[in-house]
Amino acid sequence: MNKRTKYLLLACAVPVLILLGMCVTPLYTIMNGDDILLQTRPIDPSDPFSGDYVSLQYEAEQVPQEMVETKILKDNQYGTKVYVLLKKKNGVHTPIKVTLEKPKKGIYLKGVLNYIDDREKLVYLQYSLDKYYVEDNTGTKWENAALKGGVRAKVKVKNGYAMLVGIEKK
Amino acid sequence: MTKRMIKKQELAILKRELHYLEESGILLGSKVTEIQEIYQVEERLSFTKTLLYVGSVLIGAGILSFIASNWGDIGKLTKFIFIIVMFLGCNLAGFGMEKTYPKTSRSLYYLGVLVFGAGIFLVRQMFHFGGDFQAAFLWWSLGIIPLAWALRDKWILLLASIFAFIYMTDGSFIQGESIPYWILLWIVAIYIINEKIGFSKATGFVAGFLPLIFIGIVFNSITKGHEDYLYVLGLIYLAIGIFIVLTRIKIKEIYMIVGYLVHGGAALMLSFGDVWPVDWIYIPFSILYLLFVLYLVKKGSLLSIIILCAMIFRFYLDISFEFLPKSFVFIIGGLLLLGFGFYFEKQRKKGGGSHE
Repeated sequence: MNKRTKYLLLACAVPVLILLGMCVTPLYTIMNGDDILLQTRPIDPSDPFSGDYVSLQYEAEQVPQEMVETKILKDNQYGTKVYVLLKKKNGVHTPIKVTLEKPKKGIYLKGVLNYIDDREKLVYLQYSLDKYYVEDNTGTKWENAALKGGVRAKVKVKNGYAMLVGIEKK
Repeated sequence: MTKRMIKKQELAILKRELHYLEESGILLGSKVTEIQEIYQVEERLSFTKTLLYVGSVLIGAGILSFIASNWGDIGKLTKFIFIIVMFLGCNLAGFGMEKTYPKTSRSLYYLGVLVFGAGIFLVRQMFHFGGDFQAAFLWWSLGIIPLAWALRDKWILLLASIFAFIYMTDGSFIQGESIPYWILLWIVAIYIINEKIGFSKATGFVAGFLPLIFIGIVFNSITKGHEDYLYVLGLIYLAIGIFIVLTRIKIKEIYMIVGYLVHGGAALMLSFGDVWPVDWIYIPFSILYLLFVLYLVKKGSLLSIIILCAMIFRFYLDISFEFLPKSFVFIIGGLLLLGFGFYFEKQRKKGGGSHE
């Protein structure tokens, strides 16, 4: 095997490794993660590369300020990574505390601080759970379902890494 | 030494002139051959290549669309395996045909690049990845750069630079929420590979903007994307652009063009009063800048004429819309453009480079 063939072989291995690497954490979460349910509010956009998806917003993205650590409120830095500790209430997991330190026990999500609303006394967070991809032309039925009464998201969580595994009508 | 790429007609003129100089006894025959060897004719896209490349792009687009349709009848694992097999198959077939059918081989490599992109979007879809789509382009760029280097392929490198560009336009970076520091390594890699594989102007042009976007991201991160400091960013870009234009030593022509576009764009932005903390500053600024552009025009820079025209036209529109009827605005605007066009053509006939 000459030098060029070796380089070419290595170069071709990089994309394959990237594709496999992208699957590692989600697969580990699917196998070992905890199941939780989150309350959502969807709409129905489309992406030219990945197809139709249901764009999801969560009740857990809006947290009362009293649940948030004072340091987070004080620093008020957009993009700060936070941990959101969850507790099951009426079958749905809801936030009970937002911290900078990783919680030692319990189910928690990794989130990003988006906006602090001092007037409404709320803190807006973001999770990487905003898209649920569906088959072409099937997103609308989820939109209609959402309009009638809401949809819940089935999520797998492991060490704060959360992955959408399904959506269900309430 | 990298050969200087020129057009076929340009080489013909060069040969004719060198022949004349040789016959006149000004240049020796050996020197003539030496000079001729510095130049190489730019390869033009052949009909066969066009067919093959368009074919690969169409198939690639089809595969991307197939992934996007997300048919539930085909399992996710099947689709994933299909992508991996297709990617490896394209590259293997490309490798096998390199000697016998080089053009077809190249188009198969290109198809592989597109299939890899489809794979990234498939994984995003399989695991319902959230967030902005720009991250997908980063992975796409990362994955194909080694291939661009191994194949010494300008088109793949150009695509990788465009993808890196798309990645850097991610909302969270532009708004200054985070800085992708390590992308600097990527930018350096693109520059080095572009030099190593025979400089491509198109890649140089795109890559020329990457560090500039990075500077913008760092700036927005410091100012938290506050619009009050937009004039500082404008001045930074203006300074960089002017620096590039005035530092002519060892800078490739395409980077000079980027320099002109940057200072021209920055000046256009700074010519609006609401960008500045004190709105009247835009007047002395614009006058000073126009004087600078006139100095460049005097030195024979054709690109500066375009910047000059853009600046004059911008002020004309600003002022005329307030007190002239619409029809006059268009007629006078049209006359101004015709005048600029005539002036540009006249200067061009006189000679002078696009940026000299």
